[in-house]
Amino acid sequence: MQRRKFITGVGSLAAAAVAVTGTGAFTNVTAARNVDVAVADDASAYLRLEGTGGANSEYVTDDGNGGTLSIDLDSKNATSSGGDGVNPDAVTQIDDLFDIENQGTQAVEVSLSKTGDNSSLVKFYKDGNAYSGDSIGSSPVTLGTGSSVTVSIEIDTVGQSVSDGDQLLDSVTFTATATS
Amino acid sequence: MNRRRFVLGLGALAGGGAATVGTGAFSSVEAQRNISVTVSDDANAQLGIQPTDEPSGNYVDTTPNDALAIDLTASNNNVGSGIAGGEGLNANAITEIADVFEIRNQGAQTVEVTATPLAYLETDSGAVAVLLVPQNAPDLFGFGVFYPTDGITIKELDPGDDIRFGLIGLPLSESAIDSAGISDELAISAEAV
Repeated sequence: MQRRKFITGVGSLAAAAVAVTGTGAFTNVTAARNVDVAVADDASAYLRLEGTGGANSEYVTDDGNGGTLSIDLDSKNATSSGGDGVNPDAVTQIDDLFDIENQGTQAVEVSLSKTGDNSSLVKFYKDGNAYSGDSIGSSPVTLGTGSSVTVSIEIDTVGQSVSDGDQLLDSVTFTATATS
Repeated sequence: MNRRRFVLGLGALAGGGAATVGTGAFSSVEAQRNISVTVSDDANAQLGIQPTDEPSGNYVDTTPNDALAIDLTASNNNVGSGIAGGEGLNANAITEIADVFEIRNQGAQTVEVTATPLAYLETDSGAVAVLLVPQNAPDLFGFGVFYPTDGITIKELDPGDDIRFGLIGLPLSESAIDSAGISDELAISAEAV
């Protein structure tokens, strides 16, 4: 570590031992200040993303406790009853999968962007808007500090040329931006 | 809100005449600091190192001896008040926080301020990088983007002026959760020019 030099500010202590410049102003101040940063799991980070633990938690493969939120509706996460994907030519709605909470210091606007071969078929709705209002992807959600929304998703394959094994959605990027 | 201002008082006692030592040898840095640091003594402190009065100032806490500390962990005393429960950076995410802390020349003469380093990296268990960003550096320098990772020097910080810092956090992998973190120091020095 760089050697720290304190060459001023202790006039009352140092007067007996050192020369005084007599300028009446400080010449040099050096200080070391702590920088501590932790990486938290999604459940306790500044932007909380956490599975609700509700009836549909089987679709949530990582609820954000100890890791990052992950939701899988595919053959790698078949349900206990054998389902491993959504139906073709159908609308599937899954209520209350996860929460988004602002655990920071100021209000934020949360939006999301999706990647995947047919990602437009999967939409995310906040509680109250499901499944008729604007999706979060088209209308960002504003969250004050300590505020949260519970998110449900809808997968609409009606009239779409997708079939067994086709990927719909690969990942979602949440973006929270301070509103002020 | 728990709005405290902490200023570094190392220069505060120098009013009677600044002292210089040629060798730099001293027996106890801590003792000097304990005597010199004062709380809310803005009137006399020469170099103010303090959180901003913006919401992001809550990411700054203090050490037990009232020194400023950038603290994005569960240990920050503002968690639950100024910080709504968050205990760290999200993994696999980019977090940008503006207006975290500032260094203000509260003395009577222009000083050269150095802050180092500005880049922190932890790679032992997962990876996380944190960059301190001098937000108003272009104003102070008079030219555009300038980002030295080893440290920044403001050649002339006039009395009453401040340099304000934000930060960018980049946890690079999920394995960093609850393992990788930054526990380091920022060295700040000011010297009359």
